[in-house]
Amino acid sequence: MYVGVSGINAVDNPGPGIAVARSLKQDATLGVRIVGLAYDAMEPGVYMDWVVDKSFLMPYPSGSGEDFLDRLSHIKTTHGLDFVIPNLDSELPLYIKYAERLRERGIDTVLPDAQQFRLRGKDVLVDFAERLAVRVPDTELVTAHDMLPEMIERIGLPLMVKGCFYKAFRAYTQAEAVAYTRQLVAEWGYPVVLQKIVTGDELNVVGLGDGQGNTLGLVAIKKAWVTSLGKMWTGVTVKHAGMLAAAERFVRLSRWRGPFELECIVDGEGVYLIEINPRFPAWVYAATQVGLNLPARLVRHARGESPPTERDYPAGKLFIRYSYDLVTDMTTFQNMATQGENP
Amino acid sequence: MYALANLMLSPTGLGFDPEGGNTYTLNETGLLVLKAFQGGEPAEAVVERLLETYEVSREDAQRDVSDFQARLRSLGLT
Repeated sequence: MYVGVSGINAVDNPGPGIAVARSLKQDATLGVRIVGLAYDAMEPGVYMDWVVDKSFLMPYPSGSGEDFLDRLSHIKTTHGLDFVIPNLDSELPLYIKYAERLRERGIDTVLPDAQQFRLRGKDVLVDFAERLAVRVPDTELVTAHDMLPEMIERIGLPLMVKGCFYKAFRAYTQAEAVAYTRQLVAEWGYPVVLQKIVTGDELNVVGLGDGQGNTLGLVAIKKAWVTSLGKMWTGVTVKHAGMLAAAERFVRLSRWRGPFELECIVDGEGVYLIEINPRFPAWVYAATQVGLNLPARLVRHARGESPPTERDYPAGKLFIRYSYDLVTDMTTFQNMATQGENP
Repeated sequence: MYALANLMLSPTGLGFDPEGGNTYTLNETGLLVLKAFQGGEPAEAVVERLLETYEVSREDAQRDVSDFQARLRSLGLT
């Protein structure tokens, strides 16, 4: 089975692709070949031939959907492509929109539908969080510029300025809040979300929904060391009962289909839901290494097999990310740059 | 008591809360006291343990156990 994996940009802000690919490879009975779907010839995963078997350059998902579909069809025809695990926020809308057309071309995905995808919007998160019995930081939705001063005063500085789906900035002054709002409006339009900053421990959950309201596995982690880009560099697995219960409710209520991550902040008052990511996070390999290989379970579920039912995992396992160097020949880059695939 | 009962302790005195992911370091005495509380022993029994193990006055042992309990409470472990 040929499984396409995107997000193989194992850089300082790593995509989830290498973690997903390693997890798939680790399941010896899964029988998959990894097809790397890269957006740049320099994505490290292209050169990591012990993890990614073959790589192709993809058109940017912001372009024509037809180009994107044609490229995937070409990969299927010339090499093989049966299933895709998209791992980047920017490409998910395209994969969700064209899921049926991809299926007709023999390329399967397991993704939320458009309505489920919408649930992660920060403008609807407040209402949804109530159903999940979790809290959301005080939030205001900006739909017009003249609302800003009053809303900034209501939330209080410093605050977070967030796009509905992408990007977030910390604003310390009114001027910064206004500038960030303008930037987000220019890029994504209204509404823009202003949110109170809450402090506490950053705990995240990775999970998999079967589309019927059931989870196929959940693993929670606490961020221990975060980079200047806000990415977890070390973490420790935990079993926060409240957060895990919220994740179960999330899957049950939304009948979520596919992978997801809940980003939370936990303090003495309870669980704050900060964000829902509709894909595997870059730390998903931690779940694999504590016994819940969620990418492999996703593939088995897609094939109609019964994935493993084991749900327990050990708390207190350290996740430590490191950087590593690779020196290789220019041939691979030459081929990627000129032919759009590695040799 | 749930948090205290589930605190994972290493022989070297590192405590790990598997729910919240927080870690705590304990010295030899703290480890003895914490294990006793995890075992369900009341404070009076823990004081006796300290008296059996260390050369310490009853007053000091009682104060230390009381302070330790207050610390556990402040950390949300009891």
